[in-house]
Amino acid sequence: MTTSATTTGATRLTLRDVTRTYPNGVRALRGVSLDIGPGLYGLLGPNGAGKSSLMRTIATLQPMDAGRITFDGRDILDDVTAHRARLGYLPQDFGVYPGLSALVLLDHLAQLKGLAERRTRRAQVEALLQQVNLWEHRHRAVSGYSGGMRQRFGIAQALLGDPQLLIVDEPTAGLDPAERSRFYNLLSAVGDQVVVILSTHIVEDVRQLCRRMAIIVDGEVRCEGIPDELVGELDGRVWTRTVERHAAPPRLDGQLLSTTLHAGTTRLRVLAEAAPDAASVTTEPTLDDVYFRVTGAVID
Amino acid sequence: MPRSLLPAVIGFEWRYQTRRLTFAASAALLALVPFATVATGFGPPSLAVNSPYIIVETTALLTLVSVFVLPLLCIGAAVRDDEYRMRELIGATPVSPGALLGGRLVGVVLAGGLLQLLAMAALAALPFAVAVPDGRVAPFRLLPYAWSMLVFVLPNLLLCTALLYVIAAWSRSTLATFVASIGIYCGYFVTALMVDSPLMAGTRPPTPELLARVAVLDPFGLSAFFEQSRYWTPDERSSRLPALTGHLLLNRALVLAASGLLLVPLHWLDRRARHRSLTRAVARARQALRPESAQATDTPTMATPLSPRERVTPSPAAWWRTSGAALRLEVALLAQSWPLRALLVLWAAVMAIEAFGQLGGGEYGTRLLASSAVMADAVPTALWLVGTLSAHYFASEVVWRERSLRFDGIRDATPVASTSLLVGKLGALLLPVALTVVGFGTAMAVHVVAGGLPVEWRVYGAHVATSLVPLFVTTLLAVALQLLAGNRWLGLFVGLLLAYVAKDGATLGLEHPLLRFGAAPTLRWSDLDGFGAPLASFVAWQALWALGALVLVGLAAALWPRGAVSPWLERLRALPDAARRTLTPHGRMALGGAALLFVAAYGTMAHRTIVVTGWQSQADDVAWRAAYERAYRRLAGTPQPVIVHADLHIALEPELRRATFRTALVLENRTAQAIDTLWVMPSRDATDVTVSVADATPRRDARFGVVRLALAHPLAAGARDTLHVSFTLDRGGVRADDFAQDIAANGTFVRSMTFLPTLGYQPRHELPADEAELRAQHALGVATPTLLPAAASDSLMAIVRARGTEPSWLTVHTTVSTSEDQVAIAPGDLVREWRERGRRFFTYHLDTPGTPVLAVASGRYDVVRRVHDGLTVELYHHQPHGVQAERIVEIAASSVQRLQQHFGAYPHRTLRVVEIPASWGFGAFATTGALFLTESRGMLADAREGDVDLLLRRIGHEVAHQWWGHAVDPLPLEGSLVLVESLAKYGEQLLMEHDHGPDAVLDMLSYDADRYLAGRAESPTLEPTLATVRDEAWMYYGKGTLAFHALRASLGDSALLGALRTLLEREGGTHGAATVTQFVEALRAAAPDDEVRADVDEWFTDRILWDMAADSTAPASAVRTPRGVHIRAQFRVTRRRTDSTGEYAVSADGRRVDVAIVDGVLETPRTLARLRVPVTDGVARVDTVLRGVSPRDAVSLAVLIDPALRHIEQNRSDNRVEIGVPAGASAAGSRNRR
Repeated sequence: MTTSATTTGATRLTLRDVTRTYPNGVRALRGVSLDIGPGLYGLLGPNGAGKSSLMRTIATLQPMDAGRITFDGRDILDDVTAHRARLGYLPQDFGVYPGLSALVLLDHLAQLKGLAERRTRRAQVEALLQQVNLWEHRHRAVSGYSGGMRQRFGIAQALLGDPQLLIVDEPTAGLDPAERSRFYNLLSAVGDQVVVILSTHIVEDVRQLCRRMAIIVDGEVRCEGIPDELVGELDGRVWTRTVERHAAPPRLDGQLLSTTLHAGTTRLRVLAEAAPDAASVTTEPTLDDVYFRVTGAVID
Repeated sequence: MPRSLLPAVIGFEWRYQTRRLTFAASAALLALVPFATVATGFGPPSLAVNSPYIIVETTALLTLVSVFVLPLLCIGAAVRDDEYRMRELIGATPVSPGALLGGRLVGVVLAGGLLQLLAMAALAALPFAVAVPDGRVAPFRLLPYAWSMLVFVLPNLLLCTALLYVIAAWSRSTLATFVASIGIYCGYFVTALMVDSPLMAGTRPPTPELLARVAVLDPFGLSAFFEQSRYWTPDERSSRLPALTGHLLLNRALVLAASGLLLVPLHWLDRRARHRSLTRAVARARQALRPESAQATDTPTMATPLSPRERVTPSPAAWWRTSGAALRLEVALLAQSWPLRALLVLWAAVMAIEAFGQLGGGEYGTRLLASSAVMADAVPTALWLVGTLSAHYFASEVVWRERSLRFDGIRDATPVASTSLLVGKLGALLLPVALTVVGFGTAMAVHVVAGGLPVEWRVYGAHVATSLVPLFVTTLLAVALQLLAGNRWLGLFVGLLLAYVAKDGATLGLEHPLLRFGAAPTLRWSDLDGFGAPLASFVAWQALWALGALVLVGLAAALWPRGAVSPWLERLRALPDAARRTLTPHGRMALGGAALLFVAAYGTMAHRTIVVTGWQSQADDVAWRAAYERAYRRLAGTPQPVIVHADLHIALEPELRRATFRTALVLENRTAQAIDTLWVMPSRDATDVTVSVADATPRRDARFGVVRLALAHPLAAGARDTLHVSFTLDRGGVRADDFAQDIAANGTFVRSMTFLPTLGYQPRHELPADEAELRAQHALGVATPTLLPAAASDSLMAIVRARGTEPSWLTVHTTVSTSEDQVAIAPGDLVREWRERGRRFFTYHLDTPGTPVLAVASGRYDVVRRVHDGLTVELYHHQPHGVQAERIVEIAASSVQRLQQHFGAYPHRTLRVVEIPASWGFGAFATTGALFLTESRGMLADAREGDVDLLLRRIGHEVAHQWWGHAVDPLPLEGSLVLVESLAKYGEQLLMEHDHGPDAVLDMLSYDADRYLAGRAESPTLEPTLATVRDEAWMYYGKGTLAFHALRASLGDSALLGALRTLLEREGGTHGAATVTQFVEALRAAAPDDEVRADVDEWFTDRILWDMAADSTAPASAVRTPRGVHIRAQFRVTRRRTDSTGEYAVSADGRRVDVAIVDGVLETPRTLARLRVPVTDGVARVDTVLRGVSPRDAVSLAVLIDPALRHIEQNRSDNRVEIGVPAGASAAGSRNRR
């Protein structure tokens, strides 16, 4: 496990030795410790790594067997209601009540979030619907929205009540590139002082958007830091080797990071201190290389 | 050709269904049914629990219960692709939709069949594995189980599965499927109530036509089964299976056809459902592609930052607001729910049927006046059933809605308090409100349409309140269970189980309501007394359970799962932390306080309902009776004096349902020896008892209440002494059960068996003779017979003659005080009435000795008084029921006048008719000079229409008792009730015939015949003869009535009445010693020939059933001749006798039977000829020339055998043959139609 100190702004969210084992024996989280400051924080990891478990734990939707989580110095379990009052949560997959319009449903959620005064609540709801560009569709049932529109609704509800901690769990799964772009633009507008934890499979999104990131594998933090710095650690150590498609794979010294097909040939990327063989060429490392190095996954 | 994937689909479905926890739970639930029936000895004592009849009946129960299990299988098969989002994956495979649908349906049927098979296996094995009461186990036979499985279970399974699967596939809704299962059950409920299903107690006997109709239509086939077996004797029920013929065959064929028809649109409905999903997906996609949905700017409008920035601040006011928001949303979602709307429509339809059925719910096919009480009474039972099921189904839907929609993550991450969310879920309370309003609203609408008495809002309001409260408790409990269980299906099962135990847990040994959450007394409305004594207990019990439900709701709030649902034990361990987080300090205090209050209330109820009221379980009662017999049977035969005069001072406090009795009883020693000890036993539930007699020290046995008085000076033969007894009866307060209704707030009716003590040993406190196994367990010998055998009549009569008098008639002086607004009625003439200290006093004197069957009544009555030829007739009635007051008085007066002509002078100057509450189980009750008519079984009969004039029947019957029962009081021998009840029925016949003609009597007799035949079928022992009848009501009310009707024809009214008048003269009054043996001898002596004597013997001393049927081998014919129409017809006539050796054929040769030739066309056929036809070689041949028939026109005739019901038959539908006589002078018309 790795701990870290933030380099931009003070830590607001602290996780220490967070552990959770499910009743069926699966160890979802094993002593996760992180310090997260304001801004976007990316969580990467393969399926079943524990990202969603960690998200739900931070959102107090799932208990932990051990460990502690504090936000702005307060243990989140000391006053769960107060914590949720400062929280915005967009789960990986969600449904909605049938037949209710975005306006009605968002207003209802605003009430559940404790926005009591009707006029100000209404104003916030309308502002958010405009913010997420759903204003024209506000009277339509959310259950009839497309995937992208539904995700925009999801972020709108997560932004109700001016949350200080925003958790978005794989929000762009199933969205086309245009919708993905719009979604990240919305996230970016959230504010610099808000802690935003974003889990995703799309490595490049993390590099572009997130100030810091962590890679979780099998419930453990394997890697944590600033994306560019993590990539920089691999400078000069990543090699590519092109092989004819049906040729036997060569024996290479180093860690095979990935193999990809490209125009009838196979490209191998290898992590090694020196060229693995004569035909290998050094290349610029990417965040994918960092991911594959940490996860040990190899794309065949 | 590609291989069919159907077997693979079926195989997968089978494995999927049978490996789920819900399958195991369903199997366990269904297995409970045979366990409950076998362990409790389901069925009459005469049948083994594994007799064919009981097997079929239990199988029927299984089928009904499985209606609530099948939805789980069907939902799993039809909905899971959408629920788990597998539809696209499955749809992308080469399996055809038809194969998928069909294969899953087959899989569901197989799984359902396995459930039934497991339950049947349990049914077969349990009689040999558990202790069955009274050892009622027969040797195992496979055939009844296999037959039931093939004929009942599988077709019913197919029908229910087809319907539920179609609904599930089309609606893709769990709730809609559950609503459909309720609909199936409602359909059965309606048909069952129409035909007095043995599985639905407390309804009215059906007509053969109604039975036939419902036998075909009942989807479960039970009505067809009951139609066939209605008159089967225990022997038949132990050996026969129903024949797969007639209505049963037609019914099963219809069920199978319906199953197939239901599946016809399945593919199309499923395709529509898929198309709906696809259409929505396409619409969404198109929406995304529309230009306006593309963003003019891809960047957010930074010019409009998120403002105003409002932070969330929890506060009590916020809690109320969020709770209100949650509740409003929940109610809105529920109100939009189309399954709920469908349920309400279905419910309204069922209620309308029930309400109209209620109007025809009088006895003997009579109709009732639509009153608020009658109509409101149609609702509660069905409302409880449908409401309870719906509450649990809808609670499971409402509580888990967010998880089903995958909205729970968003909702649970908000700061809303769990208690607010719980308040929202209590929006499910909308459901019982809706059901109650629709139910009673429909009943009221029918009331208005039907006319009758005015609508009384307070009556409907009282019913609404008492129906709604239990449903509220049920709904609270259902919501709490869902949250506490943490699993939808577990919560549902536990909830339904608790509901069953609350209703029927007593049969499982959980007798006391404290052991059954939700148990409360059943309320029955009386226009006189409201809900009566049970109401206070009902309120107390409901308050207790409501408090308990609220505590559970509070716990549920503390354990509300936000986010992931942890295992139950883990949640329980975390309860203190969870409560701290979820509940405010005030909330925790309130929960703790409520829990303590519940415990305190529970303890208080336990003390009150067990200790204070002296509650006894059945086992306690059995032990008491056995101990009483062991302690006091030695006193049987010990001489005791009889009461010859009673001075009664009764202080009624109707508002408190309490009465104090002070009695001075003059005792006379009518034995030949001195009596030195009195054994006095007041009413068992009397309190503050004092018993005294001069020069005697009372010693009271606290356990049995028997007071022993050793007389210092023995009471010599013929001497008298005065016994003083005082006590209090308190019927108010909160109790567990056993509510006495005699002392009421309005409509008090207390009988002498309550206010007069008994002297000596009382056999009625023994364990009865038919509880042989219980008696053996308690080492008791043979029970004391309640009536002496008929053979003892000679010796008993000799005793009476020697003593001079028997039985103990008495004179009575009664002073009764009651509330100022009430009138009190007591035996005899009113001699004084006055008011004092805000109370009203009445003194009555009965100075002519009367039978010791007395009653005192009190109520807020209107009095109608008329004098007819020196007879004063008084009617005391509840004011709103006065619509028939004049008619009642007229009937009473005319009944006395007419019966006087037959039986002799009416012995009193007054006849009182008093209305009493509906809570009494009888229709009417006669005492000396008075008759008491219950409001629901006479006063509210609609005289405007009906097969039988119920008022005339009731009143005439009770007036006839003034002679039969109160003038002639037979000796306590077997057969004595024939001289009381059967002769009273005879009096009814005379009156009915006089007012309505002989056909009205026949209509009435058809019901009495059914009563006899049905009772005979249920009797655990050999049917007695009329001369040896004991307490078999179906004998003296059923067969006795038919006997006197038949003897009127064979003996003639003159001879019969002559014999009766002789009986009255010789054996009427205080010195009477009438016996049925003596009476039968008199009838035989009056018989003009051997045939009539044979008739008398057959009716009174034999057990004969006749069977007469048109002979299909000899078609009837009608040929025109110059003298008229020559008619030939032939009927097979057989008889069967039953005795201790069994049932066997007996020749009817030598007997004559009645035959009538009627005009077959008219609705009320005109009798053209009557014949007496001898039976020869088992055949009655009709060969006669009918004159007076139109010579030219075609004529339709019918020949009927035994048209006047002079013999008892099980099947009379084949007693008729129709003949068509064509037009013309001499055309030979020969057609034999039945």
